[in-house]
Parts: sequence; structure tokens; C-alpha cells
Amino acid sequence: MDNNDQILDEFLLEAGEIFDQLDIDFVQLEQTPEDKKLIGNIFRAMHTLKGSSGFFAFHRLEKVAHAGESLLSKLRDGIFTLNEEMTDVLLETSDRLRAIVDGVQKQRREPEGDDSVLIQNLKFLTDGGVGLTKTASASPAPLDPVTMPFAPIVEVVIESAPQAITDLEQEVLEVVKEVAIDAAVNEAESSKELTAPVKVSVELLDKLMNLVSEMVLARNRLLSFARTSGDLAFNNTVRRIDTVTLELQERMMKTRMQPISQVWSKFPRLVRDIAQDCGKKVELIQIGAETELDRTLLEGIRDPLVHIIRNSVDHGIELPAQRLAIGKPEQGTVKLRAFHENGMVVIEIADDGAGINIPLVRQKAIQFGLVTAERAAKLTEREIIDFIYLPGFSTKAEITNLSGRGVGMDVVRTNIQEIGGTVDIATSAQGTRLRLSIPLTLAIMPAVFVRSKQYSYAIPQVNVIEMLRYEPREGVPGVEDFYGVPVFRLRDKLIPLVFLNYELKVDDVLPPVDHTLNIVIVQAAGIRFGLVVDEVLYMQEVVVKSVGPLLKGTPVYSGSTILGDGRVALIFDINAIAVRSGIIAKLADNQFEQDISAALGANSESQQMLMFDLLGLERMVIPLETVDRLEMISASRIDRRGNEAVVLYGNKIMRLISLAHYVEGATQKSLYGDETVPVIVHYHHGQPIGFIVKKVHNIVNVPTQVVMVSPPQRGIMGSVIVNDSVMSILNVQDILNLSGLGPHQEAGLAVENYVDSDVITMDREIK
Amino acid sequence: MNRAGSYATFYVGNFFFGIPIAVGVEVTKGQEVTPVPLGPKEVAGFFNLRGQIVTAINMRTRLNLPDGPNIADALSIFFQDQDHLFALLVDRVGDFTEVTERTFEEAPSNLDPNARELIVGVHKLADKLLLVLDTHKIVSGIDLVQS
Repeated sequence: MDNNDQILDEFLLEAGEIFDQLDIDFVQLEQTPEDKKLIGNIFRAMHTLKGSSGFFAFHRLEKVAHAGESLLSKLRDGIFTLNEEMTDVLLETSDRLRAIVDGVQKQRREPEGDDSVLIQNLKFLTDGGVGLTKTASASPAPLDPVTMPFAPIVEVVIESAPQAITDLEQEVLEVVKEVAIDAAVNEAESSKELTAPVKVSVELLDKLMNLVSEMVLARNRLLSFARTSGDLAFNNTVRRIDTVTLELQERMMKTRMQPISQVWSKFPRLVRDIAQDCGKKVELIQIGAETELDRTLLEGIRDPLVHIIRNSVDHGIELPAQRLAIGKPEQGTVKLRAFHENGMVVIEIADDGAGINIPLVRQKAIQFGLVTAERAAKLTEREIIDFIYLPGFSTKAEITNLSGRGVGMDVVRTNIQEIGGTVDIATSAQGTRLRLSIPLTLAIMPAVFVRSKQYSYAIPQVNVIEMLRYEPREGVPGVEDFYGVPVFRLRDKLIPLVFLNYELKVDDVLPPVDHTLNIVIVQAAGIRFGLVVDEVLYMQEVVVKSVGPLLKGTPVYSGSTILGDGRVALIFDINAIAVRSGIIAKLADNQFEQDISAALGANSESQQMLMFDLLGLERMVIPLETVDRLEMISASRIDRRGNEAVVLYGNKIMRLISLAHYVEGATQKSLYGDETVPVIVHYHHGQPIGFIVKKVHNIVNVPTQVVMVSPPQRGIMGSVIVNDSVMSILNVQDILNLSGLGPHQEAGLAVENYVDSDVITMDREIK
Repeated sequence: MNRAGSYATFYVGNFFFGIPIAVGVEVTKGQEVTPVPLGPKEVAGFFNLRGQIVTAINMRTRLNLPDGPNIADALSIFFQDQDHLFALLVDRVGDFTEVTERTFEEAPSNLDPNARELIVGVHKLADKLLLVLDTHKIVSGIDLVQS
């Protein structure tokens, strides 16, 4: 049983490789239908599949492969030339085979299904028929009205020949053919065998890799012994171990590298299918497919690349007629290029389509309230393009239809950043070029080590812009207070500062202003800030290791590494630090939010709500029309008035309401020190009321249909169901009533007493 | 969980605990633990065991016992869970002990709910009680998001 399982696994692996190759070959074949060698390859692949499926008694697989093989043999022998109809049916064959094999993989046996239509179509084409009527995907080729009525008649004539003889003849022919084919296949395979690589399990490689890293550490310790030892023979041995270890490490790293063509191989088919779906003509050019990349990184770039290519073909490249009208060649091109540059792998995806519609993006940004009209007019093109990375921004149906490009660009950027890479876009009316820079390997990356108290931490070098040291001097301002945010002047630009020790809560107080500061200027999601550390230590390549399951709730660390002395150092996730410190209020890091807004973009029966979390109660929403502003308020600014918490807000006094008090199911925690809390500001009869929440997410579209909660829960109006998850709608009126601000309680009066009389008349706009 | 078998034993405070050696136990002492600011309070930190990163769990915190002697002097008992190595920082390591089904008894119903989650039951040894811990629960029961 075990043995059979193993053979089956090998078969599945082999089949997977065959399908990948088939996809490439078919698309290639469409361009060069005369290529006999290519047809030969496809034919052999089909034949191998058929042979293996016979062994496992997978009858569906065998029948479909056999029918495909018959058509291919005619093509190979030059009886037919490949036409689009045949390609479609052959691709369908390949898809069907893949579906069956996928089924086998899941159920460990052949799935049920009916392939008779497909087999019939293949037979029809093999018998020289033209103009299929049954396949939905293939558009029927125009038929010659004269030959059409005759086609079935010819068939009948053949059928009426003595059945037994034909069958026998057919069978003999088949056998002869099989033998010939097997010989041909064997010949082709034996010539390959010389270079055939050995398959090694990934786990084994990983284990070896671990052992090598361990050996490197042991070597390091040995080296430090050798330095203090006077024994010449010992020292020579150590030096020998040193060089061997180094080479071992380099070779080991190589085993993790794989050519990028592994991922690219799926793209010709992808481009072909999308182009056909939207009635465009697109050619895919691949340059540098042999460029090598770490295996784990290859997985990471697959989805972003699919996304980008889909965008390029679907939205970037214009329709053929449109292209001709503006003097571009009818056929659009998408060019994939990969190469090494400065220790990074660069992947460029360039199309010659319409480019990003900058004015439209600008207009949408204003419309979404991301930027004011005056400010938007001053933004550079690059800054405008940055908007398409915002979650939710790009997923609006309006923007995808008009401007094209932008669907899920935030997802692309997040994925690339996750593997330590960067995304860069250049666009014009002549096309768009995306440039992804990705580190060669995830396992080893350059990092800057900093010290916080007695421990060292690593900052990935991709995040580091520069390092500087501030010495307090007369007349040179150091840390300045920008309304509660510490900032620093760097070449006349203000950079917000984050104090590492304070952020990590290893220090309770911020250091005094007139102090020497070691600042690492870092960048996260396009925003720069200064990380104040105790000391900048050194730069080093580190081997990245996982931190395990217990730090899932501590996003500040992205991994760990083992230092030369054998101790463990943590690696920071700069994005998470930026989010934690409030430098970035909203970051494109939440896949879950993405899904929701994407799913709802198309729904017209929806209204906009702001999503937020309370402690212990996630995914609350509040109708957007009741939200006037969002603020981050530092706990130290909060004063008490009687038993109310208030804060000076502009010229007014804003009462703060801790939602956790009034919403069932939420828990509460007390605020302390300089902690800042997100506050949703709601104006009630002209007076600001602040709702304290745990975290503010983004704006989501929710269905207007509200599901009532039974029994009614305090503070919650009802629920909406979005993408199979439930969101609770905050009952603002309920909250106001409960906190003594209801309509019958002469709303706002209590607050007004504390406000200067001239302020009351002020317009709401001056907040 | 099979109640009979070999247990690796250790002491935390006045209690005597055991975990089945089937989960892959190894004992080491004097590790230099790198702490994790902002991490779960039960996580004492990380250290390196032959090139692998080990998550050290402070058993006193995990069991809601008052802080004991300095962590640096603590001994660690290793085991593997979900492809990751964990170490329990304990006060003192005992012997490997062989027990049979006969001495086993379920946890009493008035056991503290927090402890009930971790303690599967007890083996009545001649001179003391051996509290049997569920290693998976030790790891999975930790609250990952610290407020």
C-alpha cells in the first residue's frame, strides 16, 4: 500500500510538471504551428500520461489522453496544420487532464465525470472535421455552405464499410503505432537521462541548511579560540575548516535557488486566456527566465505577478481598434524581464498600453477625501500614483472601469514588501512599467544592528535610509514638539521620531530633549521616520529564522537570527513599528479588509461605514455620516471633569466616551502615560463627542439590509453580514442616551456651560 | 493521552510536574535567553539550541505562580509542538519516572479552571503527587495579544 502510494505521488509530481510544460508548448505552438519538434514534445507528454494512467487504471485519464494523442499524431505527421479551433480543444484537453489529476491528488482515486463531449470533439477533429458546434469556448469557424451538408454523409459512408474488418484493422494499426511511439519516446528520454537531476525533498534541504548555519556558528567560536591559541597546527586546521565551511555554505545556498521560469511558465497561457476573454491581441515576451531566486521567494512573487500581468492585459492594453487609431501596432506586448542588480533580483513588467490615468486618480483621491483639491493640485505625479496603493482606494468599481490599473495594487505591494522587496511604477501614454526589486534570498539578508538596553536588534537594511547622531549644541534644535509628536529637523524637513525603548515599553519615560540621540532614519510604506535607539552597532548579513507561533500577536518582530556568539537577536518589522507608534494610521497590511471592500465594491445596495475595533469586540462599524473626524489623542491630554473624561479640542471641550462602557461584549482597559488612543469624533448638536476605540480600520461598504439582534444588545443596532462574517453596527443614539446626551436630556447643554459663549456660534468647520 | 509511560519530571515552586517523554524531551541548563519586549508575558524569550530557535516559556508565569529565582539560573525542558521547539523554564529538574495506569487519577473537580486546562491528572507516587501537564495546552493556551 505504502509502496503504491509512493508511486502514485511520483506520478502526480511528474504529471504536474508535464502540465506546466504543456501549457507553454501549446501557446508557443499557436505561434509556430509548423514546429514539428514542439508537436513531438506535446505528443510525447500526452503519451507518457496515457501510459502512466494505464498503469493506475485511471480510465478517464487514459481515454482523454488517448483521444488527444490521436489528434496530435495527425498534426505531427503533417496531415493537418494546427488551427485555433484545434488549439482550443487541445487546451481544453490539457485542462481536463489536469482537473482529473487534481482530483486524483485529493481523493487518491480517479474522480467521476463525463468526458464524452470532449472526446467526441477530439475524434471529430482527428477525422478531419471542421467547425465544432459544441464547445462553448471555441467560436465556430465560418463554414463553407457547400461542404457542410456533405461532411456527415462522408462519415456515414465510412461507417457503412464492413465493421469487423475496420475494427480489426484499426486495432492492429494501434498496436503497431504504440510500439513505434514507445520506441520514439524511449529514444528521446534516454538522450535526456545523462543530465537528469535527482529529486531531493525540500525538508531534507532545509535540514541541511540548518546544519550548515549551525556549523558556521561553531566555526565562529573555533575562530575565536584560534586567535588566542599559539598552536600552529591547530590554527592551520581551523583555517582549513573555515574555508571548507564557507564553501559549504555557499553551495548550500545554491540548492535553494531556482530559475524564475518556474513561476513564469504559467504566464503565456494566462496572457492568452485573458487576452482572448477581452478581445485583445497580446504578446508576452520573456527575457531572463533563467534568473535564479530563492525557492521561498518564488512562491511570494507568484500572486503579485499574476495580478500585475492581469492588470496589464485587462486594463493597460487597449483594444486592437483603439490601438490602431492612435498609431500603435494592433498587437500589444507585455514584456517580462528579470535580471540581477546590486545583489537584488529585479523583475520588470512593462506593457505598451494606455498607462495610468493620473488626472482620474487625482480626482478620485479628492473624491474619497484623501486629499484636498488645493493640495492635490500640488502633488507630483509620483505622489498621485502612490494613492493606488491604498487599500480600498483601488477596489472601487468606478475606478477600475475607468482608469484600469489599480486593482489590488496594495496587495501587490504588501506581498512584495513582505519578502523584503520594493515596487516602483513608471507610467506614460506609451505604457506602464512596474519594477519589483526583490532580495536574492530570504534566508540571508543584510541588516543594521542597533542596541536597546543590553540587547541587540536587527533592522532589515531595505528599510534603512540613513543613520545619524545628534549632538546637542547651542542654537541647533534637537527634538521639537509638534503638538504632541516629537519631531526632528533633517535638512530642514521635519521627521517624526519614534523612541525605540519607549515603544518597546522597556522605558517608561521619553529621554530628555537635550540629549545625544542616535537616530536611524527608516522608511515604511513610503513614510519616513526616525527610530531613536541607544546605539547603532554594525551592519551584517543575517540568517533569518522564524520566531514560532507564540509571537503571532506581536507583529513588531518579523523574525530572529542567531548572532556570532550563539545568542538570539530579534529582527524588527519596521512597518509594524510604524503602525504601532501611530506613524501610519492605516497601512495596507490587512488582507481581510481588502476582501471585504472588494466583495462589496459591486454592490449598489450598500452604504459606507467606518470599521473599527473595541477591545474584545472586533469588526464594529459606525455609519460614516455620523463620523466627523478621526483623532489620535494622547492619554496625558485627557482631563477629568467630575466623572467625565474631557479633552481640549480646538477651542472646545470634547467629552470622551469610552465605548466599552456602553457596548455589550466589549472590555475596557485603563489608559496611562503618553499612550495615544484613536478617537472617533461625532458632533452632537454642534458639540464634539469623542468615542474612544481600540483601532480604526478603513471605510467599508456594507449592505443596507440590517439583521436585528435578538435579544437586543446594549449599544448595538444590529448586524450586517459581509462576506460570511458578521459586523455589528454601533447604535450611536443608544450610546448618547446611555451617556446622558439623549434628545430628552437637553443635549449638549452640560457641555456648553464650559465653553466660551462666542465659541458656540462658531461654525462647525472650524474644528 | 496515554497515562502510563515515562515522564520527564521537574519542580516549579512546591509542585512536582511531569510531561510525557514521548513528545521529545531534552534537558539543558544555563541558556542565555533573549527577552521579547511587547511579547506575551509567558514568553521568557528565545535562545539557540544547535542552530534552532527555541521559545522559552516561563512556567511560573504560565502557572500563575509568584516569581521565583532568577530566570538565568532556571533549567529548561525541551519539547516540540507544531514544528517548533519550546523550552519550559523550571526551578529544578527531576528524574525520568516510569508510571503505570494504576496510580493515575483525574484532576479533582474543584481544581482552579486555569490549572485544569493544563493539568491532565495526577499520578500518586509513593512519596508525592506527580502532576501531569499537557504540553500542547501549555503552548496553545497562551494569550498571544497582550493588552
